[in-house]
Amino acid sequence: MHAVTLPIAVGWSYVKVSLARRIGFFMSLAITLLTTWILVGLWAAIRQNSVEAQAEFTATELATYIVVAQVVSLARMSHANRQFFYQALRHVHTGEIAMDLVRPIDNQVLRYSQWLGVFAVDALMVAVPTWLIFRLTGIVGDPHSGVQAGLFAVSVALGWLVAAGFHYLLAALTLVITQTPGVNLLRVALQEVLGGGFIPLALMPGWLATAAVVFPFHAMVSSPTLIYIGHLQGLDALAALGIQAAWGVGLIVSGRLLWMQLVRRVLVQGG
Amino acid sequence: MRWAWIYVEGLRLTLKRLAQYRVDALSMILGDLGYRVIRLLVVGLLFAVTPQLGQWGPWEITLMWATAMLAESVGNLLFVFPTVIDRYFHEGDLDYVRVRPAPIVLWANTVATQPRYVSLVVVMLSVAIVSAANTGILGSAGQMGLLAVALLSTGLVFIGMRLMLFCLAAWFTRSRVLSHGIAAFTDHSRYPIDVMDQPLRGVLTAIPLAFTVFYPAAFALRPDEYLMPGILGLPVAAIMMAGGLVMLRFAFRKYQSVGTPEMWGAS
Repeated sequence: MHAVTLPIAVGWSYVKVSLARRIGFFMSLAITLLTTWILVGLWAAIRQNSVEAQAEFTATELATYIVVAQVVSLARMSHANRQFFYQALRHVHTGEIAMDLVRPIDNQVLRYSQWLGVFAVDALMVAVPTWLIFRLTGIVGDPHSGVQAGLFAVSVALGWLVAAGFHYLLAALTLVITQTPGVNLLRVALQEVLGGGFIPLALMPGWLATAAVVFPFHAMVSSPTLIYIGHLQGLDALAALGIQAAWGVGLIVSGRLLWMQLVRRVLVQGG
Repeated sequence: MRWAWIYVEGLRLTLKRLAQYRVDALSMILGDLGYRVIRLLVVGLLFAVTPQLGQWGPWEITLMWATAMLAESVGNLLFVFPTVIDRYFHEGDLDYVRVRPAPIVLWANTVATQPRYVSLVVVMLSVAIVSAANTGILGSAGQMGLLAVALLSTGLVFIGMRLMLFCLAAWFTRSRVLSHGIAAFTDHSRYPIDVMDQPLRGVLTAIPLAFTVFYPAAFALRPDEYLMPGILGLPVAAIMMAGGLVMLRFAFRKYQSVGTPEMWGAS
């Protein structure tokens, strides 16, 4: 029974903590709105002179793609995107990790539950308001259909699972490298570019689009966004969901294996 | 003059000490450098989609980015204090810095600078020179002079903005969320603002992020067209620095040595 109730309790406590610290989310909302506004303007200017962009997307589709990609992107410098990393780093530096290891809950389940709580608040206070504001201004369109809306919701959830898996891998690295913020910066840039949040994968050079598929980032942003605008429908959409699920499970397994290897090297003394 | 020597020596010793942790230093250098280089590659990728962005070509926009990142890197290398001041407030560590034989702001730089800033300065300077050569301004002493002015005003606006933002730590425990957000947003604002709609141009000019990237670089690239915003860059930089120093003064007065129970790492 505890296996179910403990993660829920942890996740709920993080929802409450996150809501108590809501200034971070208001800040994330303001930044996300401004960033999205810039990217929409930038891509409108790019499309004017781009044959490829005009062939691939209508003006509304492209604007919708950019907005929805920013809405679902967990690469943005939000509280939800940072806290997983700095918390893991702090626990190693201060020796608090000792407490994590004796808690009556598996470490991976603990972290996923915490991040799910923060993600829920981020979705509520940053993602949904951003979408709503751009929807009300008419810049972003509705999902392509009701079915696509449902598939989009599933895809966003799976995208979170992939992101959480990748975060867990990086959090595990804090056990062996003390200056991991550099790795985290690199992760943010890769996630933004290879996820398709800045540049739709369809508009990337062929070699880069192929390379992007090798990494899990496209499963975090590009897949849900393409489902939203209807560029992935039917079997293609289901295949994209399958790939997302495979990445999510694969990262859970690899994160677990990495943690089990690295935690053996931990000396609980802080410093 | 005595503390000028202490400052330089402090910077040197800190860089030397951090470089001895080879894996840590290398991971920070490669991570930060990778982050910036990927940002520059995005510019290249955009120009794979479109031949030009408004009236700007790829090397002109690369020069805008390189100028901004070079100014930011030099600012971080020599004057990183604004970005770590919140840690001093929250941990109550200013006491320790106050008894050092150099002014607080200088001493704090000497212990907070990092080897990655050196690598960023070298790489961004190289990118700026290559971009300047490809835009054709490298051979023009006048335009290179304007680029130097652009670098100066960009750097001062950065430092002033950061001082104002990070000094908020004296009043708010979670001020770092603001600085993180602004840092991310700054990256996205490094495209020519003249391709964007009028309200957004107004916002970016008022903040004044347009004075950290677009106006200074456009001033050097096309002085006839951007004379006024370019000239305005220096007074804007002076105002931002003055505002930052006033904030710093108030923040020091507010400081009480007790620190904040909620440590900065939690943000």
